[in-house]
Amino acid sequence: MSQAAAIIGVGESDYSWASGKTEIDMALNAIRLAIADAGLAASDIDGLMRFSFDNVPQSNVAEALGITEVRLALDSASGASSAVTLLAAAASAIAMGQAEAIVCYRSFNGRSMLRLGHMPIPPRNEEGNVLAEGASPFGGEFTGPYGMAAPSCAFGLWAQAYMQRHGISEDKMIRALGTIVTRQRDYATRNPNALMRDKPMDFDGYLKSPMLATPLRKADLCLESDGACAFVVVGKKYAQRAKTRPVYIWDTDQCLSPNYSNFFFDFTELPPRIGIGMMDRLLCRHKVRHADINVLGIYDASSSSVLYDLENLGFCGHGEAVERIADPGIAINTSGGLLAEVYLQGMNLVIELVRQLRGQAVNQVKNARFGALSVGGAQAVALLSHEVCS
Amino acid sequence: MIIPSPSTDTKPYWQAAAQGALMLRYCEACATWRHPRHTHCTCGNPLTWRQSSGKGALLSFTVVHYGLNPELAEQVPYTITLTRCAEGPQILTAMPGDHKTLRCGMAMTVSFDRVTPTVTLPRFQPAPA
Repeated sequence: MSQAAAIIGVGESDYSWASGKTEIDMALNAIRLAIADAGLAASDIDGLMRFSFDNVPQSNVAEALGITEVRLALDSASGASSAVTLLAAAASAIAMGQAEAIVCYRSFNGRSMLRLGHMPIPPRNEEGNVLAEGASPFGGEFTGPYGMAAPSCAFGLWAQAYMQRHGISEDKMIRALGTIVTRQRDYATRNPNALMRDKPMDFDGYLKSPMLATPLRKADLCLESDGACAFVVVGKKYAQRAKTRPVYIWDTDQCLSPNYSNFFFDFTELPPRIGIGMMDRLLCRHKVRHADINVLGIYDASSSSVLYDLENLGFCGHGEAVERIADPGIAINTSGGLLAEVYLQGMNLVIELVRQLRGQAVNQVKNARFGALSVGGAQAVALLSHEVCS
Repeated sequence: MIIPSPSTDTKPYWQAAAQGALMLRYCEACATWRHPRHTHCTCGNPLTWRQSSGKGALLSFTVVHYGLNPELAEQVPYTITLTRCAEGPQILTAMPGDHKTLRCGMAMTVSFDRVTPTVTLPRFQPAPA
């Protein structure tokens, strides 16, 4: 992994429930802010990277920004792990000299257009029935007829199996999940761009959140939202004269399970244990300890993901996170995360880690030196620091 | 109602269900059972259909209380179950109602629910003691 690649610019569109904007408009807004934050001109950008399922092509971005020579345009095909895949791809490309300033972006009208949390109702047949087809774990022919309509239901299956395996009582599980939700909702109250900035939630409020798929409530599931994120990754040349404090990509690692997108068909143990040992090995390579990490971004598609990731990343033993979460000794998802800031699939978590490591976060962790990111259910991890990798 | 729309590959599964049989995929070459959505084994061999015992163990479950779309809002609460068949593949089905007393690991057995004159859904439920 390149030791010189750094994030020097971040940008976000306004986050909303109904943007009233096109995805390219939001993307360009976030990208322009990120380039300006980096102190660069659009003409300095020579790489553009996005999620494969983003609807905004690199060519349209280049055209709109007036970039005439794109040296590298890539898509990440790793789904929910893409935020780390983009960090890895950008850092590798910088190290290989294939580009000097790369913009990574994600733009998504995930509330006003495509709601991933709800199975869209396809056309009905002549008898008025809805036809479920294909092998999707949600709404496919083997799942849709049984009401398996969205990831929330799969997360319910995971949580129930997790509780039973570790002998965790429902009360203890609810207490742990409520701790995560209320903490992130509290963080969001101080984040002016967070969608839940005006909606703090205490534990009683959490208990009143409607049950969705046992043991998970609506408040345990990530938002459906509109918005865009972008960040700029550069090499030494630009990092040295950046007007912001560069945040270095120390390392990344990925363990993309081909089965992961099936959520439950092929795992004999739920929740799936993916990437166990990956973070330990990554930290070992750099002689960094878990205790050295000050702030953590965890892809919280559900609050329960925070528990599983803490365990799979080695911050505590298996089954221990329900106890540990009361006082985890590490700040997690300090922007509000996907539960309370915006659902931009981990890209917003990258931006928050950058703010923390610059010392500019609204919920600033004192002297934050190392930040770590875990996305896609611990399928991909990254280690960031404002210090140059030693 | 949400009903399956079989492909050419999966039609035999639903036809068998209408006859009261749960079919799984099977690889003759490496003697491995596979989920009905697959057409080929990872070894490359095309899979055949073979009848399951219809028995298994509950891997997990969740009770859905919240209508995720208008169609499902009329059905809540319902209990989604994931059953690991004795043969290995994991089949997801659901039971109407709130079955919070289910326990992971309990014995399950399949039954067949004719939801329309032409559609029959396999459904796993706790095996009689």
